[in-house]
Amino acid sequence: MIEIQNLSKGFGSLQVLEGVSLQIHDGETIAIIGRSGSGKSVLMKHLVGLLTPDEGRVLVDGTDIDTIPYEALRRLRRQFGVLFQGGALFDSMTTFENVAFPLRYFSSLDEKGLQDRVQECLDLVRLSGVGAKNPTELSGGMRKRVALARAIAIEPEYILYDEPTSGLDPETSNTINDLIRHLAEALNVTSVVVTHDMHSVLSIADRVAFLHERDLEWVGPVAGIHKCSNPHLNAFVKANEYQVGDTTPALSGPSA
Amino acid sequence: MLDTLLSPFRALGRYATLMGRAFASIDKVGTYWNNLFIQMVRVGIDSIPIVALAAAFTGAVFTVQTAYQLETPFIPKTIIGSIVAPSIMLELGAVIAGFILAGRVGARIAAELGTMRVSEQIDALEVMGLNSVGFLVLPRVLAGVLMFPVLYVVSCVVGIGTGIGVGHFGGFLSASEFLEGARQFFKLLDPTIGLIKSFAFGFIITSVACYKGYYTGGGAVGVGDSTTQAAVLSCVFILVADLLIALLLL
Amino acid sequence: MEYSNEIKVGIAIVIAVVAAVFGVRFLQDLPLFGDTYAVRAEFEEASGLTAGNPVRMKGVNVGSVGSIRLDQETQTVRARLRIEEGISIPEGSHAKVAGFSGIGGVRISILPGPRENPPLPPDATLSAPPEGSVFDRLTDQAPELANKADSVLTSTNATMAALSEQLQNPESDLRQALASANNIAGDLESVTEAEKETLRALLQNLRSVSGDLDTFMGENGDSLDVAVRRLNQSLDRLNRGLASFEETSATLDTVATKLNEGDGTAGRLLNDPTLYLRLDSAAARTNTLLKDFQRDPGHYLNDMTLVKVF
Repeated sequence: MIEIQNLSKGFGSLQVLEGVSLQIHDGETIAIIGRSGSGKSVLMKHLVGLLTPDEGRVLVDGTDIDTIPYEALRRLRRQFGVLFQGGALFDSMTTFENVAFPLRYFSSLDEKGLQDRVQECLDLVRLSGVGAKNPTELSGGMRKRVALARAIAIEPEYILYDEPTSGLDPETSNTINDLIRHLAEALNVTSVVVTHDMHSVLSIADRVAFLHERDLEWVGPVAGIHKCSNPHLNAFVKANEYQVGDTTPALSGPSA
Repeated sequence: MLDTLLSPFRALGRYATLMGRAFASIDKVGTYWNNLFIQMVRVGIDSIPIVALAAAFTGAVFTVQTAYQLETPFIPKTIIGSIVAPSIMLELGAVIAGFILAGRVGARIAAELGTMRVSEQIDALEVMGLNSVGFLVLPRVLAGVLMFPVLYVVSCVVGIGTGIGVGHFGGFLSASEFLEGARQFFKLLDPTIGLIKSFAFGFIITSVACYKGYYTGGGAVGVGDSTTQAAVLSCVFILVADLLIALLLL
Repeated sequence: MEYSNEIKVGIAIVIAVVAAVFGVRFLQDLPLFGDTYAVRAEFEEASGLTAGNPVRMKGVNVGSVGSIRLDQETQTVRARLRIEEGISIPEGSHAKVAGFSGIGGVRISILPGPRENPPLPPDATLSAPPEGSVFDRLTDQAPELANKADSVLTSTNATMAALSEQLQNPESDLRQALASANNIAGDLESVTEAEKETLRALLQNLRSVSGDLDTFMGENGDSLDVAVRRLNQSLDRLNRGLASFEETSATLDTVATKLNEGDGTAGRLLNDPTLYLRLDSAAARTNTLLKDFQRDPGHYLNDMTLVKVF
């Protein structure tokens, strides 16, 4: 369980987050939504200690990740899998090596076991036959799936998704959404999805946290998103409906 | 205003911290062994041709011009060798190689790390639980420190060799005259200082480039800025370090 | 090729190290292969000599200056030279600083000692060539020469004294004594004759020495040393001359002793080329004769001629 307590963060004169508190329960999928530049990614990076809060704390299973030594933080981070916005694949390596990379450092698998595990992960993200390719030869959607395979390779407890569907066509987006749901169920992981894609939110999230003007304005189950009285959230949801038009599924909750 | 005044100190502090983190993980260099050798090849071996080319022209031009300047009957021709050889060993060998590598290696490292930074590859390394500084910065800096002396030797051998060749076949002074002069004034201190310089320059180039690349921000423009600054700053610091070493050791 | 990077780097480093080491040795004037041994040298004045300057013997590079420092206590310059293995410097060699520092040509020049001398061991010290004129060195040797001459004269005196004593002794066989004296004189003459050659050589050497001296006065440089060496050799030969002179006088002494004891075979002993080897046995026989003489002097006197035969 991850607990964000009263977190504030600013860059220079720009205050991005102010007094943010949030609890993320084990096994749930929570979507952090908000406008571009509202600080969603900044909040997510605090969860794995990539950014240090100016004020407040982040507790992972009761451990304050900003006060523990770097080595302990590194060990703690191995519980996390992170899917970065652009995939963040190492372009100096092949697809196979990218997925195998964390295994080489953090598992005791031999070369055979390593190959099996990489294949397993690539199968989970429904990719095969791309192992020898360089990440730059892959499409955006494929890159994200490879990155996902890499994120789950060392069996994390938490997976963080940073804009998993941004820049993808609706069909590929759906594939990714399916994957996120599938992984959450198959691996029983806690998922944190940072996105502004309402379609994605409705199809995968259990809970939603709406970030607006440096703070979380609304946190609640995804079903309640249309019943809330928060004008900013209503405006956000509405804008998203216009944007995605008819492809938006029924607003009753995540579709199977 | 205060921020502007303090920013150089802040930069120095960040640079020193980065190097501290890099060398703090030196006990785990075994983990990054392959990385180290990849960098040693890129920084060192791949730079040999361009360094040799630059050194060859430097040695040739230097010999011809020294011969031209000393064209009086009162000065023995051997003096040309006495000037060219120590100068290359003491100064030009290291500095020429340094400038070439500031452009070639410094820019490359800054661009590489900068791109990794803006495409979140560095973050990806970190959240995997790897020490990104140990993984990315340390092998590059070590490669610079270890391979730059090799390039210095290449630079000296090629530079003096071409100097001898051009002097001989250009009719300025015979190879044996050159060597006699070079031997007459040879001091072990010259190549020793040159070697010390090459260690220092290797460190400066790679560490400045790593610093600039590691702390890149702002997308493609940021990468461009980092690359330019890495090359320019390396050259400036090479000159400063050159002067400091000369003042301290001569 | 998993290790190809490591191999490339390894090869590059090895080549660089080899190039650096050989390059430095090459520029230091050291042989590319093989070792050097250390020799020390002392000077009054370094004249701008620095580490790395060449060391030459008869104008050929044989090594280089390793280090140089000023000994504060003795106010002398101490240098360590690296001499190529296989170059042997004879004992008695000297080292001096040559060339001018103005144009950078300072070097150490080794003036080799006599060729037949054993080579210097490692870490031996070469001194500067002796200062002062050749005459100073001659006067150094003079007392020794005078002593030798003295001892020769003393021996001669003793011989003469013994002779005259013998001649004045009424008990002796005068004729034989005279014959012996004659023989001695002849022997002396032959000695002098033999020594004539030595003396002539000696004189010639002295002449060449003075010729060298002339050259020395006219020129500077290595000729001084050559002259001094020749003079040394001359003095050695003079020594040898004096030694044989001494030997001769020792012989005379023995003869005189024999004559004193009334031994008639003195003349024979004198002419005997194996005089010294027989001396002991002669003494033993003299003893026997003396005993016989004491037992039966009359018989002995009558048989003098028989003794002569034996």
